[in-house]
Amino acid sequence: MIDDKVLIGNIQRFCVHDGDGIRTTVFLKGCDIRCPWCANPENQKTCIQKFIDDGVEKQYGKMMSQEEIIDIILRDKIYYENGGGVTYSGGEPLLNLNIIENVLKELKSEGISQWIETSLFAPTDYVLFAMNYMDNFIIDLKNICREQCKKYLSGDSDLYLKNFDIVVSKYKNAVVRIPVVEPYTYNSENIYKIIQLLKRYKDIRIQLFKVHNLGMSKYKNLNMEYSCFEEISDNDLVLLYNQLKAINDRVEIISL
Amino acid sequence: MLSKIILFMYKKRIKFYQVLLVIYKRAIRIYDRHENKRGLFSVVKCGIKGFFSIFGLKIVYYRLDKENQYGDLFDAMTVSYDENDRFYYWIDEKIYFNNRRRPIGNMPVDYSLIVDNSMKTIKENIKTRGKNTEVYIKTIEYVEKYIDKICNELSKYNSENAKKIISNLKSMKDRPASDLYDALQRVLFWNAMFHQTGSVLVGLGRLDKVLNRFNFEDETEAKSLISEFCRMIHKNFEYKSQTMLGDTGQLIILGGLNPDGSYFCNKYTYLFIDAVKEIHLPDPKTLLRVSNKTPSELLQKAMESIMSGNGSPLLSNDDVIIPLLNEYGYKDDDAYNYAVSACWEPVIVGKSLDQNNLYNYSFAETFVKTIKELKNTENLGFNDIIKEYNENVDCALRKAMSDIDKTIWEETPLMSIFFEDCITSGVDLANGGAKYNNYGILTEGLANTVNSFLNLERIVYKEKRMSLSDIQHILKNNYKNNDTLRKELLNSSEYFGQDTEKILELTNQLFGMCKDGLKDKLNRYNGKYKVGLSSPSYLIDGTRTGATFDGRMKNTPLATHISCDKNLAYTELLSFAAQLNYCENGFNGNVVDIMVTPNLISSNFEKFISLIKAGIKQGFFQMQMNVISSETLIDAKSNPDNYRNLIVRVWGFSAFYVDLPTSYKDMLIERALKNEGKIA
Repeated sequence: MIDDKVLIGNIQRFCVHDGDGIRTTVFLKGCDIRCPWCANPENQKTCIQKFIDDGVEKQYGKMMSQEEIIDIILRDKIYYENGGGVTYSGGEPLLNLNIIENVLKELKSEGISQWIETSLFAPTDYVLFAMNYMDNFIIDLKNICREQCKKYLSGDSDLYLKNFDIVVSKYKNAVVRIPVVEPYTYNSENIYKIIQLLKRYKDIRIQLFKVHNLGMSKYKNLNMEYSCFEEISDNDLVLLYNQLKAINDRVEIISL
Repeated sequence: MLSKIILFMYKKRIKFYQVLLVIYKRAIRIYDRHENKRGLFSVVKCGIKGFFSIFGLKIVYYRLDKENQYGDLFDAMTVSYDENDRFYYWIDEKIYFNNRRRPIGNMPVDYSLIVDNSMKTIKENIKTRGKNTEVYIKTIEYVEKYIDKICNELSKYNSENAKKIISNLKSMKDRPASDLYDALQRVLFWNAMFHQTGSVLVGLGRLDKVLNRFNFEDETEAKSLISEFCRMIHKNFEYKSQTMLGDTGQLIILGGLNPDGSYFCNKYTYLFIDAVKEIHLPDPKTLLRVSNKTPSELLQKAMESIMSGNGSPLLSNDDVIIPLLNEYGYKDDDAYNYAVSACWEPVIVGKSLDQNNLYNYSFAETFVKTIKELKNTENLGFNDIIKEYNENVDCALRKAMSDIDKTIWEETPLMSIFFEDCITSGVDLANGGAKYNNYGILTEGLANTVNSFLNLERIVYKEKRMSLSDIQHILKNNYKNNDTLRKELLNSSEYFGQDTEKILELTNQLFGMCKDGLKDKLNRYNGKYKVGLSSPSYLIDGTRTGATFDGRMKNTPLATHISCDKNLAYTELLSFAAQLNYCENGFNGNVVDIMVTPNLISSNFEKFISLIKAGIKQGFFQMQMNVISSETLIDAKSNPDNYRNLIVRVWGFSAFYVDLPTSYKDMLIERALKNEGKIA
């Protein structure tokens, strides 16, 4: 039923950090991993979360029909020239992408570029489902050391690596995005493994970014504990950049 | 108290004689209003004049014909020149040329007349084609005499620069401009003349078009000339400023569609954009007429200038504006030759008297009045309120038009010479001699009003949480003890700027009331009225407007132009603006005003170019950008000495941030913080 309402975190137009061109980003709620630096904690749970901000009742998440979602995305169609389009983000958008399948189909038939920004921590079937519709992937590359991945992110690195290979084998132009934060992603063991992994895929684009202490107010609104961390120095970031540059020409430092 | 005044004058760079001139201007206006008590006032006048002469001030005020007043003015004027200057540009600020009536200004002049002709041929044209020729001929002869006077004075200097100026000024008498330098000197000379004779906000028109026939081989030299020209235009910045420092109307119009549908731009289009960016001064400003056909590299050049933070150029969308001008009654070729008044209001250069900024109508004030005066509120439906509002709009506009139409303009043969229709009809510009004589009003507070109506409908009629009399009470008491409600209103999920059918419909409905209220009414010259959604008075008028039901408290600023302070996506705001109905008479300047942080634009340059291109295609009317961060604005407010060169875009002009009144600084800071999502 196209009229059934689905849960959406938010829809944001004119996004310039979520892929090529001008894009509309659809945030889907729900995520199975817990990154300590998560800047979007409001999209971790698959439910509407109400909170009071300065005496005014507000909420994270809203129910929308797929028609409404399509309508909003298409309102910026004229701005999608030069490679723009829609990006699904989250939370982990792979987990609930199927609830907006009509959106995916409709946009595909409209010729709108569809990207997904994913952590890839999702069952492989979900990844394959997404690949039916997506024109490109932005893949977060966080931690691929088995123990660390489990400890820091509550994630399964084997599943991640399997999904990574499937996606990158098909999407030669995929963007791999590395959040650089010590010690969760930036430690010698993990960096070594990341470099070894990326050596195998020459064509992909690599983006590094420094993780900032963001989203503090969201943690407060959600009554969640926020753990501050030390931001990595510019020198360390450049050092990592140089290491990656040696194996891939398409690496860049971005600021989010 | 006195020390405070002196300190204020020092800070604002106001000179003592400027204060005296303001006092004198006021006195002389009072004098003119009391025809039958002249005896007493004449004594007072002589006293004031004598007092002024102590400070070296000269007052040119005669009961002579206008052309003879010019003669006396030019006699009284000094000649001042700095040998390092390549151009001669001098306004004698110590002379007050008293215009008894309101001087015409706030528009550009078609300088091609003096660039493509000599004064001799202009006189010949007047003699053969004109009526009432004596006044024009005499005016030109006085100007020629004045040129001789300048040349005589300059001959005392031995520099090459002075020699070149003399040769060029003399040549103006008997031949058209021969090269770029010659043309620029002529524009400067006449621009100074208009300001000297009391016209204010006299813009520079389509200079790239005016200069089109001049080739140059040495690009460095051309660049240097254009930069020097721009620096000259910035001279007398304080003198030319009107409501606040920077409000000078020194605007250069660039680019634009040709009648054959092709896009016009030339090397000067690029050079002016570059020069204005490089000299980084508030004056001159630029406006780029853009179209779907504007070359990408020109848009890039424009964006580089905008990115530098000087606020220029403002982008004006020919694809939208020209059809509207045609529809309104500006003939085909004329519409294609539009420039704008001092800020953004389209005007046909060299053909229209159009005074486009004669009244600031406040949607918000009418809203406050409507709600306050509602009676039998329990029986009123939402449409009844809208109907009541509409009647108040009509009433306010009728009064506005009646006030506006009382304006009598000071005759200006000097400016009329630049209007072919004034020559052929023999009627001065001030008396309706131009081809078009339309009047424009500006509006403010539409966003506040749309949001107020949206909230009112939701809370009173949909959620039924409050009655109309509750709202009357709340607004009357300026949200006293209702702060939570106020915050709720500020955070409403539906608001002006969203491109939904509902909000567009309401916005167009309110705008339509204003357009309808002015439709079919004629001014004393049989000109029509027009209206636009951008006004300079959103802050000043806000300080006397009661609380509105969008959460805005009384006496605080109204919303700026077509803008949204709720962190709305730029694409949504542009899409909203593109769907507003400017048809019929709604084209008197409609500027989307957005704030962007320097980081965002510099790291996404190409995407901003795409935004502009798509926005043009989608059909925004006009657009300006303030590229600045809240961090910079806050720091500059606390440490002005470190930010002497910081330029910001104020309503339709650019100004030094440190020169702005505190209320403007605060408003910009608040807008920047909201834009960055740092406050709600």
